[in-house]
Amino acid sequence: MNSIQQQRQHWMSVLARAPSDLLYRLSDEAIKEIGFEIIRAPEIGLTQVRARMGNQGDRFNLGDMTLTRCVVRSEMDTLGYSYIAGRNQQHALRAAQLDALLQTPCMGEALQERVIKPIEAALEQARSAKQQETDETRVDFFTLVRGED
Amino acid sequence: MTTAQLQQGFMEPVHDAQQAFRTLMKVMSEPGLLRTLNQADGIAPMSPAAVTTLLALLDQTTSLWLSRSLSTAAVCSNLSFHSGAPLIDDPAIADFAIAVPAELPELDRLRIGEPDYPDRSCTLLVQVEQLATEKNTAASTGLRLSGPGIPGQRTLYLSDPGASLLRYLVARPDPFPQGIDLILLAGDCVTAIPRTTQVEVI
Repeated sequence: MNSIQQQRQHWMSVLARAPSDLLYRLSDEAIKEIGFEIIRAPEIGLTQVRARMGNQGDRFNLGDMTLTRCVVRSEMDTLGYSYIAGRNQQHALRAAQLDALLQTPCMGEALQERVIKPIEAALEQARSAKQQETDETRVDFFTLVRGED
Repeated sequence: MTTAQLQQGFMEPVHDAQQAFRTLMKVMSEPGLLRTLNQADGIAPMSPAAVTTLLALLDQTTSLWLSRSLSTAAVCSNLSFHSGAPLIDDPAIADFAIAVPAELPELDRLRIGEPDYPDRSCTLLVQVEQLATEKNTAASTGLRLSGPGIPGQRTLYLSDPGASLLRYLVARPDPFPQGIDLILLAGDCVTAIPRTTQVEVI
């Protein structure tokens, strides 16, 4: 897998997981003057989520989840795709628009700085806050033997 | 496949597909009736009616055969993108086949279903130049249709649909209920001649 593809996977993932209002706030300015052609209007559907027992065993069907997907073309002729969890069509549209722009040489760098990095920071912050909250209430069972010791 | 070729399919995927399907049901149940079908834009050289029909009927489980001049990169990439239908090279195993009159597949090779499952047949779509209810210079071939869904007789005029197709429609060589259903498309106009319809060339 090449690094361009990895980079794109990374930003698509960040855009998909971003809190909607933060995403709109950070990107309203950037997309304002750019024309987009809708190739596949945001549409809601179901997808099947599969998992592995203990993350390494046999695969099984965990369940269905709602998914919204969207494809647009920017006026710079790049195609932007988005697949997001849930039913927020506006979020899917915005994520697709940003995916299209992030692929352009002229705007990609700037958007990385102005949109992707702040969202990443916010996601990381939310994750570590949750982690901390969990750690605070962790119960250690001293009477039980854990692991090898 | 270059990105520049993709274009929008249905604006409102659910409603447009349902309306298109309803229209196709109408022309199938009343053969020879002309209806407008333009929920999707055409993809040159494919007409709006043809694109709309294909987007409404195809999905991942239905294979499509395209005749040579319709099988352009733009058409193929759009149909794959919007419908996910497998595009195949052999009309003999296709669920749907679309052609222009000059490039009709060998009609006796198309699937006609089995006696127990006549529905497992090929639906043939033919994109002609023009369809009309009155004879005119372009639509000069007249067909007199009769059978289920037609009160008495109905006449349909169209530009040349190809000699082999006319021979097939008049002779109906397949043992009923086996056979192929025909959808005729021109611009944003559609009509159908299912296997139950008797056809005479005027």
